[in-house]
Amino acid sequence: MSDLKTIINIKSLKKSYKKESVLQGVNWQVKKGDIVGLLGKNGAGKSTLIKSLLNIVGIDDGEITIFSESHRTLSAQSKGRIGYVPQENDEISWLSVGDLIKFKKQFYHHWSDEKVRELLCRWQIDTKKTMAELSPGQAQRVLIILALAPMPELLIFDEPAAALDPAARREFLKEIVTLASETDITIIFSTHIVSDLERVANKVAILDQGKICYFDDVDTTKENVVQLAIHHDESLVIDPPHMLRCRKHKLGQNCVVAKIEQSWLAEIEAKGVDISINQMGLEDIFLELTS
Amino acid sequence: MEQFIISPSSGVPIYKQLFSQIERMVLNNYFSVGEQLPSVRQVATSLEVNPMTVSKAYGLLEERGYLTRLRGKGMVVAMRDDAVSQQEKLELLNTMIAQLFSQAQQMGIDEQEIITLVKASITESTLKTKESKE
Amino acid sequence: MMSILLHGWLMRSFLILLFLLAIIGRVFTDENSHWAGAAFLIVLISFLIVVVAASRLPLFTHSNMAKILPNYQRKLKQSLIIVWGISLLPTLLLLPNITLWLGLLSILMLVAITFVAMIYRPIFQVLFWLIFFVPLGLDFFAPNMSGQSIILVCAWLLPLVLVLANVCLNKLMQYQGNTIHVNRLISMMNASMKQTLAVQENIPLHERTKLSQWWSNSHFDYYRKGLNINKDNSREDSKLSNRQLIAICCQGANSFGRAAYVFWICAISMLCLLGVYLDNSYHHYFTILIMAIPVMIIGTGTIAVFQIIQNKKNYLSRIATTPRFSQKNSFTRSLMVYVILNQAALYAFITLFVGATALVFHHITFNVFINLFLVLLLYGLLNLSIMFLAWAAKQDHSNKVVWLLILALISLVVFSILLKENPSINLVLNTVFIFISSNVVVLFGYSLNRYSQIKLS
Repeated sequence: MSDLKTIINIKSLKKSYKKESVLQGVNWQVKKGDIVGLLGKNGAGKSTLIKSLLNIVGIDDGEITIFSESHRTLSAQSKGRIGYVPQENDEISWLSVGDLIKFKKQFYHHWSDEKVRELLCRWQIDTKKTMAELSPGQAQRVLIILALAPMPELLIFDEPAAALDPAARREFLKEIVTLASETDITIIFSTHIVSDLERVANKVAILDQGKICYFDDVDTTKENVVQLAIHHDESLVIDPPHMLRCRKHKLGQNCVVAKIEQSWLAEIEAKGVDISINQMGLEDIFLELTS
Repeated sequence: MEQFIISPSSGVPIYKQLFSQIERMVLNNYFSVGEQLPSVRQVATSLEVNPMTVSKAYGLLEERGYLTRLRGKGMVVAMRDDAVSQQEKLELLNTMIAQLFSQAQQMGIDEQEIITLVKASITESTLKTKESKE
Repeated sequence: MMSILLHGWLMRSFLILLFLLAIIGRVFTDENSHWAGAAFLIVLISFLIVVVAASRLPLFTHSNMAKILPNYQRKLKQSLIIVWGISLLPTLLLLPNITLWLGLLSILMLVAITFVAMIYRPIFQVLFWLIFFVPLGLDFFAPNMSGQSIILVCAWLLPLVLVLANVCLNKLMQYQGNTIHVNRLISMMNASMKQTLAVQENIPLHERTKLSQWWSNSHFDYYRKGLNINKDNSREDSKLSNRQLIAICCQGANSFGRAAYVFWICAISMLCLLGVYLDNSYHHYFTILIMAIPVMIIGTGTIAVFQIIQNKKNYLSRIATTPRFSQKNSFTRSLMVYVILNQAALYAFITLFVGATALVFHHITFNVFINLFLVLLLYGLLNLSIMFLAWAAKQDHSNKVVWLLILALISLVVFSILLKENPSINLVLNTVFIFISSNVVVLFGYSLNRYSQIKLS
């Protein structure tokens, strides 16, 4: 299954904390150039999945490869190709931004001072201030700069929007888009804010009950997962294929399907049943797929 | 790129929104033949959407003959046969009228009423254009 | 309220253990010999209870409940009196000797009042240092007073102390104080024992006291300079070793850094100069101070390192995933080297300190010095083993580990006192000691091995 285009390959990954099982056999592949939004409810294990992937926490079972190398024994070169922005800012608080950048630089073989300068300038960050003096949004931006400085090919954000206000979040999304249009970068970002994902991601993965329960193109998802309003009299019961949910009411039924079977649609319409197809936003789709 | 407006949270995929918007713009002669469209990157960064989504829309427009790719210039509005173009305009109007009719049907408005409404609207708009000319 | 003031089963069992030790000490040592150990333990238990309860006091005096709940102040006062009573219970062991008991009671109560004052008003911390000079001062102003008569005076002062205690308690119930300072305290006290020092790291530097800002900055600056070195000479940025990089990660406001060494060296030199200048007959007044300083340095120097690294576990494991540490075990090895060197410097410093003071004040013989050195070495190895094992463990046992470290520190103090009192013991030739130390060395080796085996950090 692993070819050059597969950046991340996870096979039956299991991880538990104490006795609580968080990941129960995750299978997932991310291809080069994808911008993947990793959705999941609070506590679904998004952070755990990301940390396991990066070998920040050990895993109980399973196999992970990044750039076709085992994630436990990544070469220095491959490590340098990964950028990671953690959920919380735990950088050394007493270092000034400038010093912190110098400090972090020492851990990487490749480091673009130019990129750092450009971003610092664009985001108007005072390099003389210490990390403790920055606002949460500014600190988050510094973390993003630190992740981007080694010019990574794989960029992983753990809840990047958590500390940012809406305006700053837009700014951040813009940066992701710029990155994606400039280079062939692969980006994964976990979030529970669906609207962020709708704009920039081309793929959506949903982590629910310890597994990746859904992974597909955002466009395909929006085209496939639809709501059917079926009008007919009470006597009739219709079971559409790929049904996720169905509610009957006086004048017919409202169903959500994961995919419309065209042959079935033609057949039903030939019977004279009135069906209207309503497309759904990603947020509704997410709720339908996880409940 | 302020000319494009998208609504990410709608159920319609963003590439489809872009596609139908540009399609209409071309048919309405908002873009003249040979005019260069903004690059994928420009559209993507200004709308804050994935560049792949924009290329997808452009690709679809190219496939349908609205745009052509010129080396070194990017996407430009394609030269089109007038007859074909007229046909497409009518098709577009047709789908809009079909939508109008189905809406009217749901509201329980009959054919005659719709036709009267359409006629009234036409006279009003011709009056308006006359006024503005004077 | 009482259960919160004395919360934590580890602390309670720890106190009970000390109490049992004190009882054993009291029963098995005869009246005439100075049973310093038991008395020390009694004072220690009482003081620990006061420390634990008092440090949680701001949670009650400055909580929002205080303004809403009926009879809140009265209930709080009652439970405070009970806790205070509990803290004084161990003194009953002194009982046949009524004067000593009463004297110690008033001394302990004064200490408790001072400690609470120190918590609410940091300025009172000066008093803590003055205590060491009390014997000296007494001798200057009242040269004829013996230990016995001091106790006697204190015993007679008890009614006065009781009145003072009551006044202070009533005042405490109404106390508003410096809100910023109290809020800072409350944020610290919510944490359990595993945090204590580390939690202070979360207080932003600019919200600290000026002294603490200066103190932390002075050793942060050393590392800041390290990052900016040879910036002016060449375009290349500085290259730091793995160990230095980890040292930067592990610095905290409470780290025993360069400034701390400089400060203590100055303090010790002054003390030694004073010792040389003063007549030999005054030297014994300094012994408490000379013995207390190393204990404080070791206490903060070891526990702070443990807590800071434990606290930064996440950050360090992220650092370990960078290209710099892609060689197998290079991260764990560098961290071990950093910790061992850091601790070795601390113990070497203590040894020098004890040696220098011994030369000046002659309070211990050369033999005792060697003995102390050996015990210190053993203690250091034991401490390191505990830390490495705790860091290697999958689960977080920091709470227990900190108590274990404190227990080890107290045993160190007890052993040191015993060794000082019995200069004839020769530990180098003592089979029991050799047996214990070989065990500790094995444990140390095992802990190093365990730590280097762990998957990541």
